[in-house]
Amino acid sequence: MKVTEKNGHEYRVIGTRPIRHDGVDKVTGRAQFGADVRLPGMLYGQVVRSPYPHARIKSIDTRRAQEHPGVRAIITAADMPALDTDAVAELGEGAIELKYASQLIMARDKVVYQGQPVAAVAATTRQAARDAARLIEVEYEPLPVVEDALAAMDPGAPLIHADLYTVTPGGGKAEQPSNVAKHIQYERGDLEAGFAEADVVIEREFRTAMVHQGYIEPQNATASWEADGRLTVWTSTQGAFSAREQLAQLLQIPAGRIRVIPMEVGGGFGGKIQVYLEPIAALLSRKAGRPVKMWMSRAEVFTGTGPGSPTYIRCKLGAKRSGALVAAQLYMVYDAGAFPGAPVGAGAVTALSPYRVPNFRIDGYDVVTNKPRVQSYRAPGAPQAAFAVETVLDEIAESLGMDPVELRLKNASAEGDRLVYGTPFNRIGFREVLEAVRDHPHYNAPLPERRGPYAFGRGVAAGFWFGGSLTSTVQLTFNPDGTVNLITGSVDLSGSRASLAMIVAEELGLEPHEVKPIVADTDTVGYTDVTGGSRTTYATGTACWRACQDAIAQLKVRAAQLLEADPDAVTFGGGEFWLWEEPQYRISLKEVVANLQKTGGPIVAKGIVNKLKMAPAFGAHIVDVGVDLETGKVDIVRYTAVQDVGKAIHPTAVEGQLQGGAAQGIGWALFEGYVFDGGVMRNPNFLDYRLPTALDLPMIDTVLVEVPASDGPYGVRGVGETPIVPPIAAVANAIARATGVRIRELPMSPERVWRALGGADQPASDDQAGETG
Amino acid sequence: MPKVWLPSPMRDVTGGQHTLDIPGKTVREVLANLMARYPGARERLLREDGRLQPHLVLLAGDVQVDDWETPLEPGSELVITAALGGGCRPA
Repeated sequence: MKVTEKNGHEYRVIGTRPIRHDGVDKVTGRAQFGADVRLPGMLYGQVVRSPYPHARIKSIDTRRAQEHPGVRAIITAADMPALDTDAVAELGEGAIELKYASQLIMARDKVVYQGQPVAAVAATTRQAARDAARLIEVEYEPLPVVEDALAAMDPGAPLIHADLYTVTPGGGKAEQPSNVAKHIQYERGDLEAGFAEADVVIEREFRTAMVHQGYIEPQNATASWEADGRLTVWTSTQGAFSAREQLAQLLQIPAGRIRVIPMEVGGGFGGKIQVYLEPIAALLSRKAGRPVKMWMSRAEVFTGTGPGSPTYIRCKLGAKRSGALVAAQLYMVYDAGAFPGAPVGAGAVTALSPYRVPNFRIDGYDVVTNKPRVQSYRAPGAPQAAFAVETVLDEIAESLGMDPVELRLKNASAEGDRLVYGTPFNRIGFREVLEAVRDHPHYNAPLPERRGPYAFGRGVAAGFWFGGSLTSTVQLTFNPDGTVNLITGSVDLSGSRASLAMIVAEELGLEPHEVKPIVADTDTVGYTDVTGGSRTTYATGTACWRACQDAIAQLKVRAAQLLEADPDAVTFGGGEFWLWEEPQYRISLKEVVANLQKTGGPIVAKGIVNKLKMAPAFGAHIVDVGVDLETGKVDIVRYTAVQDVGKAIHPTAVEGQLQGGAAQGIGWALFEGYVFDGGVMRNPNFLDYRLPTALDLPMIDTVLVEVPASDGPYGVRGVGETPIVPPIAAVANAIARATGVRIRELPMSPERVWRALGGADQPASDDQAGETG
Repeated sequence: MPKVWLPSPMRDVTGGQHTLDIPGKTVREVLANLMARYPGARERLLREDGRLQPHLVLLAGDVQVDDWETPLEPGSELVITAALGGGCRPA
């Protein structure tokens, strides 16, 4: 089969839908996850966690636990290197100061969120470890809790970290400590003049909840610290090398002594980059002299790992009667949880960059509170920002009597327009995406008539993600039968083995099943950054393409030997080498590979990427909702996700990404949210923290728009993050069109919708607000 | 000469300008000339040891620049902006 492109390119493999290389193992249960690791003499670890969100640790008494017959090791912060340093641990997608990362592993003098580890036990059985953990006596002195980010910014708020001073990039550093870690600012033009010029100005406030990535597989780690000082760790991670670097820094041991073996991953979405259990398992193993395996309960995952940032955003937009945006002002407060590092930077950049706005000012704040320290969650920071901007845009369209897609088309950024920090976009497909929405049958279909208490509405919203590069390494080795081993450091979260193998198959003239993708450990392949930031198919795919060019160059020399010709006279295409001037003399790649031993021995080809241009991917979603006006329950009736994917290598995998992102975004919109009471999470389980299920979602239709990226092979763009950006605003806009009521706080649960419709005299209280329907 | 895009909070040291034409054939030369013209810029951009402040990044076009010897063509752009990747990075 050949796929013919509109631009005339013909691909034999790219754009087809082969069976995933990891498919059989996963559907038959043979795939090896962290839970499957079993080693001789293995112990089981259990973490002791703080029940308090903010408290001084007065003492930790481990004597009773030590007497438990099954116990082999106990650790506290005293067993970890004290890292009072300003060094930053780069996580590939995000970063964290080392001294704070260390406290995520084990609290030292005080606890700053419920669920923070204070001690850990290794014992001969899981039950013994749990029993012994309960015997560790920790005496706390509770401190005032700061739960809300806006309250935390108050000058009189209790300080969570006495040594935290606000940094303003390009500005200075505050002289007084506060709970505001960072203030970022982007400004252009004359804001006052811009708003004065506007015919319509709308300003609104938005609040989003703390939400968890909701991966099905909990964090887990098994560590074996050998007598000679070598450490091996088996773990569920989005980046084996990132995990290795974090372990080296946190434990202050050379990276070369650490081998991280990435297991299959049961979901990550940004939440499995930061290490949590790995250093604890390592220290317990060192102390016990035996391997130690650990895994989290669901409650530990909720309270002890890193969810997505809750936010407060005030958004003011001004437009001319023509629809042209002339001014924008955003005040964005992103809650980092217990340690600095909320994704407010990405939120600020993604908020306005999709549109041409000549006058704007964005103030973004990274604020600490006594909640779990947030981590990346699929397009970190962007869904919250899009909820605000795309909702106000919808109101502007309404007030101007314009079609909301036409309003966006009128203002959409294109190649050459600048992101808010000044860099111009290279080739992007935002306009093409919006045109596809405007012309789509879904957008033009009539809405259902009101039926009883059910009113229907249609919403649209847009968004984008940058599409990053970072570093990837790929190696190719060849087997005598002509098949290829593709060795990559990119952990496979979503079928990337298949996409990478397809690139190699395309370039070498093989079938996808003749390429064997292998996700390697840190001792086996060159440095590779995390699977995150929508970079794997883009960056590691480019590394695959480069490795193929390297392989072809090497094999050409061998083919020349076999053809008894000069290598410069040999060319390659379609899986065959032949002579330029005498094409009847040809030899297949497989024959060349079969004769490697006779022509000089094996070859190893490599491809390395560490700097590619940004490849932004824009998306826009259409959603129809039905709202029960009596109960406030919202049903998703029809959903279409449209996205510029550059070039879909494996369209089924790409469509799955769009559907998964949309499903997660719908979860943020309608169901999900941590419920806190004085900093204590009240719903740390999947009954009370409601994720959307198949029963909540219709078939999510997808439209793949293909505007080639400026860099990399085939014009491919990363696709994973963008689809979670538009859904929240799209759903909110649809609810507004159905009911005439705007809801600007998440989740838009039945209770919140019902109250907004006038279902009660009192607004929802804080602890009711997050309850799910 | 290259055009430099500055973080908005630096406008108080550049007389309100957020883009400047600064001569130089490499990133290092452009930064040096920028700081020579606007003395207050140095402490905003660099740590005491001469390295870039950890909460900032340099972009040539849309590609991050780590090597200050990277050449800059006349008419090219050097963007100095806040690092996006989380993490409070103390000065």
